[in-house]
Amino acid sequence: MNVHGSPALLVVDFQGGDLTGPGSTYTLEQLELAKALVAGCREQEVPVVWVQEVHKRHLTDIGRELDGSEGPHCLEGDLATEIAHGLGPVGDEVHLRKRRYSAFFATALDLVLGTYDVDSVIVIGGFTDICVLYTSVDAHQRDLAVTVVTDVVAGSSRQAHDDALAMIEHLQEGALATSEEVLRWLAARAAA
Amino acid sequence: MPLQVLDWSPADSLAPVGRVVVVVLGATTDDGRLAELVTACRAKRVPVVFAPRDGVELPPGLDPRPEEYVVPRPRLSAFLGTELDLVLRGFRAETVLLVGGLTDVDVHYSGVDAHQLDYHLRTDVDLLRGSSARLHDAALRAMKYLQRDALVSDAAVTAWLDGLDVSGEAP
Repeated sequence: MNVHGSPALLVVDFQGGDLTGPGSTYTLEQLELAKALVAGCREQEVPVVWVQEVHKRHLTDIGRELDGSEGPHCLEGDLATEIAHGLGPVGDEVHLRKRRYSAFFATALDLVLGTYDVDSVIVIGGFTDICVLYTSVDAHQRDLAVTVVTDVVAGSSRQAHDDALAMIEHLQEGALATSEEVLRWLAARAAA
Repeated sequence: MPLQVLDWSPADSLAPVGRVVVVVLGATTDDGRLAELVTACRAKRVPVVFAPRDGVELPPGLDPRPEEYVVPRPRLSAFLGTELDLVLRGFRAETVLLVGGLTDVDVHYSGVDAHQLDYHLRTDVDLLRGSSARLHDAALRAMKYLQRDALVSDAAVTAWLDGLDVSGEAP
């Protein structure tokens, strides 16, 4: 696990409203794990940053995202675009909307992480192979340590999920951890 | 749910959108062929930009000309912390053809930035190798997920160049 002394939790596209929609990306079990991680981070004053992909219904901002495997997605106003119910920013937590896959792309994430002075990021959300992967790659290229929580990310397919985890581990040895390991790290920090 | 990529064999024809710029990221499986390709681009006035990893020599035989751009990259993506996007805009490029480098690192992560910057992405699959066979295939699947026309064969690149007239225009 690559969680260091001063991490931030990045919740990337954990969307889908009440998660009952057809083809919901996340299971209710994963929602509970995400809530536990968010609560654990808040207790330990680990900053939580919320990242949400949103496109205008006219799709001016969709870029090349319809040239591959995806159709129109994350449209403003749709229930499925809302951050999963039970999650979401509280108090002064930062909430960034993005138009592209990487949470660093055309957002204030660099500035936000700079103000928190973090040296590592813990990433949960989806898709494992798209927004989680490309956010992790950009974090890696910015010299941050990366931990992707393998049971709290969801892929566009099983194969793509497995591919992405292999890519992330190849980038940074030790970048994969389970929610149990991260929660244990948070608990140990509380006890210290 | 999005479509899963089940077939990632390269297309045998290359139909780029708008102006094409070739970006050479590093060594290929056949650097003699790479030198030929760069020569053919010059003959057809297709711009070539060289984006080697900082401190890594370009493959032999390319010999960038004074009027060509060499854009050393400090990180994996050729777009991060470089002038590559500015250079591509100067050429009015709409399609970026990535050549050489490691499939799963240089090509995939430069490719996703090209994609996010709204370029049409193509790569010559036959000249690529990955960190491993597993990661090579995974990266090809990922790039085809991003853009369904991203993967082309070397024969397709040759046929496309052959079909251009000397001003770089398709007839």
